[in-house]
Amino acid sequence: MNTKTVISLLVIISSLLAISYAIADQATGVIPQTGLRNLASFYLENTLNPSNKSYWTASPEATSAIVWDYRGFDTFFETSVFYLAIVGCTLVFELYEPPKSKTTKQTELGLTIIVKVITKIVGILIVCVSASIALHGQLTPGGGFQGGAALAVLPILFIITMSRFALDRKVNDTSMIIIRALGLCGIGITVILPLFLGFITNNNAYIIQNQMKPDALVSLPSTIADKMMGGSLWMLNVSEYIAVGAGFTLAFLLLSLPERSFKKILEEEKYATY
Amino acid sequence: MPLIETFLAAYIMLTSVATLIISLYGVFYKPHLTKKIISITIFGDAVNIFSAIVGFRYIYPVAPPILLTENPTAQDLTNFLEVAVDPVPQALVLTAIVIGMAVVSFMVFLALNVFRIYHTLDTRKIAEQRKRSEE
Repeated sequence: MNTKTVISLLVIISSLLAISYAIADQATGVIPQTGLRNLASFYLENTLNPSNKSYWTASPEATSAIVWDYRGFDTFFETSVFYLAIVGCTLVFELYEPPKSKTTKQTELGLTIIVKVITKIVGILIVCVSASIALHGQLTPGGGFQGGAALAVLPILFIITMSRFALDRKVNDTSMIIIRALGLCGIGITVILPLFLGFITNNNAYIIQNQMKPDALVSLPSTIADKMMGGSLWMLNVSEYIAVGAGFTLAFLLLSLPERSFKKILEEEKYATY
Repeated sequence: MPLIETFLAAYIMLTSVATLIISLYGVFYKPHLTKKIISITIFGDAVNIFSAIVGFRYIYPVAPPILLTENPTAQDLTNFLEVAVDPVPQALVLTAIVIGMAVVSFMVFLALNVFRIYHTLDTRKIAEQRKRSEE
């Protein structure tokens, strides 16, 4: 056994002991619990409380309320991590020549016409379902990320059935980067919108504020045409939906690049480095 | 809590801890980069399942943390607090899934680039090739 093996073994055994000790000593509380933790009961009691609007979020979905309102900064930085990961992916794949198809006829690319038509019908359904997941995020389980992840199934299907070259004529890397940037701008605008409202109405306001707080009387509209929209939650969900959908589409477009567009460049790189 | 439920709770805890340790083993000892990435995703999933269990409530009836009325009364809220599970771990799991997915996609991109340069993802063969090119 060499030193690396011994150290790895020590790390595994010590993490096993640490986790077991933490659980046995009830660091996570009694599992499964029967009551509620104080923090959880605060969130559940205040998320939609028309009689006491001091800390409410105007959303009946407590998880969405926590994600984008009570712990909004967590999600903001999570979106930043996602943004940086996709930026990293595009940087890693920066070195490629745009691939060219041997044929220009659409009928020669991809699978048969039957599969293509069915994929188009399924594609419309995917867009509808994912948009509904994102737009109902403040009412039912779902939200921007879940909707975006559902939407990201669409480019994979299209790449398989239509081929990447057919997709490339309508959707390319640059357009996806622009759409993703628009989604992120939407998040940024929603985050600083309360500050503008506070400035106009001469009130205190916080960043990512949704509904009014005891010391900051700025709130975004909780209902639009008698439908519960949860203030800023729907705006953030829609922006996240666009950003995540475009981000994943970009990642899949890059992953589906043919090998021949890399080989030459990377071979040159290899001999230059070593 | 009855004996069988205590046993089941302990069983679920043991399983999630065992999954964590097995995934750590995969990260450290499996030489193939794809297997390392799979182990890391299993690690993240095990942690997420563990967090979901932490938020669970052993009561009947039990409900998700979603209010079903648009204008809840004080009585509605009291009933809601009696049955709803803890929403905090669910929100944290949601965040963890997004970050995990971003990190995994980045690792896949890196691994693909490694494959394009070395034509293998086996770390032993990569080390061999590097040694040979240094000589």
